Amino acid sequence: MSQRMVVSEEGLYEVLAFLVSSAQILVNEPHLYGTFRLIDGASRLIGFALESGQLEDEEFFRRLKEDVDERKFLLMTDEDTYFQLLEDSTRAMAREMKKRASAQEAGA
Amino acid sequence: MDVMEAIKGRRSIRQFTDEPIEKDKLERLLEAARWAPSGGNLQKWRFVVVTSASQRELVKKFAPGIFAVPTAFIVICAEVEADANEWKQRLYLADCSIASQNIMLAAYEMGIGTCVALSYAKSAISEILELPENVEPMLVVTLGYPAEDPQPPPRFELSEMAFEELYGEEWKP
Repeated sequence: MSQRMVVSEEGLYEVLAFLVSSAQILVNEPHLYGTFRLIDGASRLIGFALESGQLEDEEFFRRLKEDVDERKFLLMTDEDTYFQLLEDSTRAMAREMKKRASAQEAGA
Repeated sequence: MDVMEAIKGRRSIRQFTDEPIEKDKLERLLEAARWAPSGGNLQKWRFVVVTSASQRELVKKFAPGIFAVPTAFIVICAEVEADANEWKQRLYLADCSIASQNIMLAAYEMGIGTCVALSYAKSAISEILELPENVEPMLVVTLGYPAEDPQPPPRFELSEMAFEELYGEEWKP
């Protein structure tokens, strides 16, 4: 399993600005916006990691980001599809991490 | 352009080209805002126009509800009076909202796309723009030449929102 740094210091600042701003404004925003900020934050983080070119499995993250960015705005018009995106993204992450854990075990 | 055409044609634009907005057009937008009505003609709105790349990037980073860096921001602020009570606070927001609609309609007429946002960290925007303590950022309008042509989102029918004489009494055309 790689120990490489995949987010630059500039990227870190930008993600942190997004997270702390979100934390502040979510106090008054509709509660579903919280889910949106989290999935959007995930997409932004992936974006910085992809920019670094240091990812082991770039394709997985690229696909995940594309899927998130394609469906995230449906929160405003099609909640069911948006909720499905949240479930699909979580499942995709779990599948990928399980695969990585298995590969690591097999390699140990 | 017919006013109704502008009202119905305006969309919230979230993707912009890199083409900068000419200074005289920005001033025309400020002029549109200046002529908006305000409660008691207080005109407590203040407008900060942000066009430099560094300032735009910074503002965008603390505005989770803004998804692309526009070519300009107009940050609509309220100069809060020392004795401002809750009613006054509402008045400031109402006045700034009306001014923002003037900006957006005037922009639409000039082919400029806009989107009004409230999803930003006020404290961060205050720092970045060096706002005095009594000046509060109320709304942020993003501006730029459109790089998208979104479809209008659905609108409720008049029969669902308008009534005649009494609440609940159907509006008849």
